[in-house]
Amino acid sequence: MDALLDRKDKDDFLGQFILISDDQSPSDYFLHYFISQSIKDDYTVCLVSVNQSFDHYAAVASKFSVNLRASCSCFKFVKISSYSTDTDVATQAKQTEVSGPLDSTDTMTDQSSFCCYVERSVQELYELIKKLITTSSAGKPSCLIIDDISVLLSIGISIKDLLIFVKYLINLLQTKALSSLILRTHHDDDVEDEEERLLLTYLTHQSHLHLHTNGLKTGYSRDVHGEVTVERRRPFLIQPQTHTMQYRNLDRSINIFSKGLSQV
Amino acid sequence: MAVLLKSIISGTEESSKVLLEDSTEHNGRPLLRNILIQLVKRYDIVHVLLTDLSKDTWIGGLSEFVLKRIIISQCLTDPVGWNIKSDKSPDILMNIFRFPKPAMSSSLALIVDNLSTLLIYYEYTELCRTIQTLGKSYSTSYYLIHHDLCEDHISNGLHHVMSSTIRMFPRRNDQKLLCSLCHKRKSGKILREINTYAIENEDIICHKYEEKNKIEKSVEQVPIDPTANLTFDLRLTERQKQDRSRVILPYTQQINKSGETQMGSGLVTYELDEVDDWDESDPDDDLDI
Repeated sequence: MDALLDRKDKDDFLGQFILISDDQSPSDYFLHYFISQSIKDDYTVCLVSVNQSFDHYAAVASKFSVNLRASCSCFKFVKISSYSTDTDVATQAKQTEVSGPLDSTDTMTDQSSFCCYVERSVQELYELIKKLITTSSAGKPSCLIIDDISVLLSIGISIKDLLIFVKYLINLLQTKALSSLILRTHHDDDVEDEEERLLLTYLTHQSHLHLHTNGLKTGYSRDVHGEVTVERRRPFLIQPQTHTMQYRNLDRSINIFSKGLSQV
Repeated sequence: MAVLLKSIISGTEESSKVLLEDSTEHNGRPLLRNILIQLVKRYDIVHVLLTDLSKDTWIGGLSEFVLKRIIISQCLTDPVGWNIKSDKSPDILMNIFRFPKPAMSSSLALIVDNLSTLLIYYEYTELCRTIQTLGKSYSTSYYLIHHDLCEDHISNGLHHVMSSTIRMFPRRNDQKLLCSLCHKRKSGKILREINTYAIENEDIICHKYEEKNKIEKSVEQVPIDPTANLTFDLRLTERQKQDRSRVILPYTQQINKSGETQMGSGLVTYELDEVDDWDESDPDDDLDI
């Protein structure tokens, strides 16, 4: 992965906005790579999740040899929920304030690292993230990861509010309050969802590094699971530096190879 | 023959409001920043308004000569008041374009990077009105917009307000950087061109793309003769062509008649220039229907 991203030093992603997007082929591996790598690089990581539980991330991180439960001093988890089944969790979160301790099915050694945010405005979500980052970074670089921002559109947040929210996150990055911003979004090319397309295009314009995964044009293959395109974008680069590779997901890792060079 | 892009940037072709339309595949900022370098040579002060990038990022790599002649303002750092925890509505658009007052006799130019972010907060009609108003204060102004973030009606509205639009095309393979230009002269004449450009150091090297394309087309078209394998003859001999040209068509007769009655009262002639595309077989092909 480091070779694919041309990453030589742990500070290579400082001040960068990394965008992960997928189309017909999940980009989960790349997201989990950044979560685990940020913890290994001693960043304070704030993970905002819309549809996965903490246990899910902890289980996957363990495959990357990272123990999320033991890393709670530098790992903050915010769960965004809009489902009625989470009402109890939401009520408890409201009773104990947004960043208070929470007794839920998501267990961690340090309960204060868990927050729940339910159907509130994006402004409150921004304030919560800002508070978590500024209070817990303790001089260490901080990294914000949102999985996945396009789902916020589906839970009733307007595209305008979402773009304003992203603008504020980028401002945090520019003022160095945040060291690294990683957003995951989803857009299927064959689905006419104008808001998702607009969000992806806006994020692409703003990003420094864009990882895009898509399925093979020729259809499903047992040996090649998809293509990943890495776009390196700079404010004054006329065209992004792009290269595309193919990949195959394995049980605990991923096999990335040049197009047409699958070993199977 | 002057290249339109070069003429607009150098000021030989007067243009008060220029829109640069870029996309994720072809970034317009390098060209915009190079235009700034050309503008500081002609104007006393150039105002630069940033909506996305920070000042430090934008001015990185600019020479001392340029930095002395520009005033940069970064807007939308807290557009809706989330950082001060208030329900602040965005500033009045005109206030965003407020720069320190220059000396009375200073000539001013404006660069805006970019309009797409402003369109999140403001209606495009308000933006168009503001651009019109700003036209009175600035001799020339350049606006960058990401056209892939722009709906068609917004794009069309902005085209009406602008005197020139430069749309960047995505580059394919080793092709040169292409942009299509539409320039409206004050006289009302509209010039359209496709140009290639390259940025070398602080200079912009432009060429007409159309001419080369025409040459390529004519080279391709020479060997193709659609009448070659027909079972009937569609070609005309020289003699037949001469005979055809002698036929007096009804409307030419009309003109001749009226010419006879108005003998000595003057004659209006129209000379075709390079922009006119006169095709007798399809006189309406220049209409955008």
